[in-house]
Formats: sequence, structure tokens, C-alpha cells
Amino acid sequence: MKIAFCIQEDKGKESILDSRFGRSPGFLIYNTEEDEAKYITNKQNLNAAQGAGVQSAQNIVNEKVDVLITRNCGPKSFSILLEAGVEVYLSKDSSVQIALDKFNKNELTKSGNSNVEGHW
Amino acid sequence: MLKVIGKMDIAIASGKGGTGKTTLSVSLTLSLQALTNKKVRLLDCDVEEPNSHLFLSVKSKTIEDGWVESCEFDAEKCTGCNKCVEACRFNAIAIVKKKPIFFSDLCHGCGGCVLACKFDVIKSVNRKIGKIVTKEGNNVILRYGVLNIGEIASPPLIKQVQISDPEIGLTIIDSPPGTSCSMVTSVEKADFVILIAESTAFGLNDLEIAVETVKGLHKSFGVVINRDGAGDDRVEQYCKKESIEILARIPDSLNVAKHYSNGKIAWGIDKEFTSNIDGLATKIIKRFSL
Ligand code: SF4
Ligand code: SF4
Repeated sequence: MKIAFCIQEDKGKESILDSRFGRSPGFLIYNTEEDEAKYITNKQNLNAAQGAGVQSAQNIVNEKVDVLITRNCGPKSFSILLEAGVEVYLSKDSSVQIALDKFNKNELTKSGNSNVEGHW
Repeated sequence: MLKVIGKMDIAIASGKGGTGKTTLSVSLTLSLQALTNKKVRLLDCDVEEPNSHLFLSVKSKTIEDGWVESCEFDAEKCTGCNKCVEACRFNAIAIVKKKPIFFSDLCHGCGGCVLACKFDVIKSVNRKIGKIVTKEGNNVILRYGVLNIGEIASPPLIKQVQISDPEIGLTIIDSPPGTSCSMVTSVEKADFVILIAESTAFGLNDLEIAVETVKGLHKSFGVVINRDGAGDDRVEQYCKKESIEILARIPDSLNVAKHYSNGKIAWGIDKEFTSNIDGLATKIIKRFSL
């Protein structure tokens, strides 16, 4: 299973989680079977005038991710992730490791809806 | 830049709403019409809340569709190549499992994706987003747009309100409040901009932002102080310091406000107000030899 996290800079599982999804500087994609983490940049979206969430969701979908762990997710991003079958879990934790532990213990809430209004 | 509209176009703008912009636009239109005895056009570009028509005795002439260029997808044919996503600078498309997901409210109708798609999936279409109403009466032509509820992109509709008419000598453009892209679209083509402000702390702050915006657009402009006497003299001081011309001072008047709330414009009714507006109109007529 592949799990994506919104992070500020790549420090493997010690990476700090970013509070944004659309404008997260990058994503850490953790492969649970191989216990391997890969970083993908989302920099092109930091300055996007609009639709950053759409592009971020597309990036996540292109990586064939199964689960996204994020603090926030807007309606447009959510609709794309839903279509792609990516499950969205909400976490306000500080690092990838903490959020991952909670996810494994089933302590994170699965989001059935976008939790923030988009702004475009 | 493409010069437009009529021979002389004057935009009226303010940093925020509720500064008497509608009152000024409508009364200046009426005054200019009366003093020149020529046809004057008023373009109400506040497509989210057009209200000039409530204050003018004009009759409906035409109603047109307001539209924006958009796209349509023939999803069956999509191969999932992602070329359209890469081509769209506005992030309006996502492709999931060879299925396009299109966010029409993000689309600017640039046609980039239509060119990028080699599989004939996407075509350009016009999507209706509102209507444009033209009314006429007493040598005044009023044109305004009404944006459908839920639509967010007013600039395309504003551009359709601002249809060119080289026959018309004078056009007044009532710009939407604020300094958003709707305001920029509205004043972009004007020859001269009148900024209306109240002399309060907030009023000055909004004015300063509006001044920066019109300076950025390289427009000549002047300021009208509304409800003069109700605030302090900070707008006066600011204009002096920045060498900005004060075109008129419209005194604070309960009478003017009363007329407005009764759906009437004080021009032609309230003596003092009328002479102030006529003074401004005369200045404009002289300056631009109308
Ligand atoms: S027309 Fe332009 S803005 Fe609209 S979806 Fe296509 S590329 Fe994007
Ligand atoms: S470019 Fe055309 S075929 Fe390719 S993903 Fe987009 S719509 Fe589908």
C-alpha cells in the first residue's frame, strides 16, 4: 500500500507535516510493503494562481497512491481523489512517523467529505 | 492596448462598496446628458450587483446571453495521456483512470487543452454565465450585466457589457467596488478614472489601494470626496501630498441619502447636490472638449 503525506521538506519518516494540501511544498510517498519512502515535489503549485488543489490531487493520483494523510482537503481535490479511489485520512500530527503510527493503530479519521472550503 | 468603447470613456471606481458610486455614476450621466444635450451611455459593470437601472427611467431594449468560453469533453475517447492537464495553466482539468474531470469555474477558455489533445476529446464551447441588458430612455443608454448565481468569473461578462460603440461620444463606466480583477477589467479601457472616497480612516486606506491600482494601469485620474464634512480632512491632505486632483467635494447630506433609499437619485431634485454634480460635469466637458 502507498500512503502519501503532505510535507515541507524531505526528512524521510521524520519529515514535518505541512498543513496544506494544494500548496504543500512536497509529498512523501511511503510504500508499506517495501518500507520505503519517496519524495515528490509539488513546488510548481506553490505559486499557482488557482487550482493548486486540482494539480496536487492529480500528482497524488499519478503516483498510484492508496491513502492520503493530510490536515486539509478542499472539495475539488476531494472529488478527484474520490474518483481515483484514494482514501483520505485527516491528521493534525506533527510528523510523518506519528501520523503513520496512528494510521496503523486505526486512530485517524477517514474523511468522507472535503473538510475545508476551496479558495480560488 | 485596444482602445474601445466610445470616443471618451470615464470610469468611476472606489476602493470599496457603499461610497456613493452608483449615485455618482447615475447623476453624472444625467448631468452630462443634460449639459451636452447628447446621447450618453452608462455601463454598469458591477455584474454581481447591478443597481443603476433602479434609478434611471429607461426602458428595456435588448437582453442578450452573457457567456464565457469553456470546454466540453467527449470522455469516451480519452486515452488518459494527460497532455491536456499539462497544457492547462489554470489547473482546470484532472485525468483519473482515463476519465477527464473538468472544473468549469477554473477554466479561462484559452483553448490550450483543445490544441494539446490529439484524440479529439475536447472542444471549445460557449457556456452561458449570465445576461446583458440594454435599456434606453431620455437620451441615456444603460447597459448592465447580471452574473448567474454561483458563477465567479465576472471579467468575461464585464467585457460583454463594455461593447464598443464609436458613435457614442461619452460613456460612463460604473466599475465594481474593490481592486479585484473585475475592477481592473472595468477601468482598463477608460480614458479617465474618477475615484470616489469618503474621508475617514477606512476610506483613505481604500482610496490609497485604488490609487495604486489605477497608477499601475497608467490611467489619469482624479478624486471625488463624497459625504464631505462627515469625516475629517485626511483624504484632502493625502491628495495634496500626492498631487492628486480633487475634482469635486460632495457635501454630506441627509436629503441625498433619503432620496437614495427611496429609489431616487438626488440630481435634479436636491439643489445643492445638483449644482455640485453639474460643476463636476462642466469640468469634464471643458477638459475633454465634449
Ligand atoms: S480552455 Fe484553457 S483554461 Fe480551459 S481547460 Fe482548456 S487549457 Fe484549461
Ligand atoms: S489530452 Fe485528450 S486524450 Fe489526453 S488525457 Fe486529455 S482529454 Fe484525454
